[in-house]
Amino acid sequence: MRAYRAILAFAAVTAGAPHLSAGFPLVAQNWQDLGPSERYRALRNYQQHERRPEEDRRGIEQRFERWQQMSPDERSRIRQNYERLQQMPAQDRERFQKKYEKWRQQGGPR
Amino acid sequence: MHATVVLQQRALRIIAAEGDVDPTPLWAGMRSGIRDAATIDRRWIPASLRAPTWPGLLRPAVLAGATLAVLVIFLLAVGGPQMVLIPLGVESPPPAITRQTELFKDYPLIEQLEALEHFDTVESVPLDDEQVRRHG
Repeated sequence: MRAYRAILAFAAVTAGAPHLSAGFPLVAQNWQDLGPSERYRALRNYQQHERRPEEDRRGIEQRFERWQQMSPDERSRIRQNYERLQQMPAQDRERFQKKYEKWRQQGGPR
Repeated sequence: MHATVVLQQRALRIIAAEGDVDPTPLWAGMRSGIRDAATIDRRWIPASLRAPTWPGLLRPAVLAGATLAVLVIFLLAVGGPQMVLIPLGVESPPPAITRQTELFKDYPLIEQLEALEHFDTVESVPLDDEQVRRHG
């Protein structure tokens, strides 16, 4: 019965939770600090990462290293931009992706 | 009870054969009595002593089957039992996740890091259809 309740609670949490936590945690977190829904999403992300070609995985790990070296202010600014992007309608997010591709083709960050 | 009903039916047939007695209300009374007797009988027999009926026997099996079906559908939808057991802490996660928890927690953000760093610049890039609209 306890296991059944835990499964139901887990289903309820994973169904409606946002992609990232609403706050802006600036310290590195470990697995034990995460709730079941965050763990579930992390596990999904890990599976997605494992399915990618090695070159893509290396690129993401390099970005993560860069992220870790950023100042708390810079991280906070990027998280805010992420929230802005998440709040956009799907069509606008798609357009943003196209704009990013074009921007990269034009030389990207200089 | 069956013997009583048979006796009453015989008596009614004899009365009906006499001709000067209208048997219709008597038949109706007997039918109503049989109906009431059946209802009273079932109501007064304790549930534990009643003979099991097929719907009664099937109910627990149907409930168990439905619960199992819901559980299987849920497990398939979330990606297997591990996708439930690991987040609940019953099973250990892959070592890569415990080493780089932050990466996998913030994965969608890390994936788009460059675009998010230059959000406003990227937003200002005109797409071809926007250029056509402006010039045309």
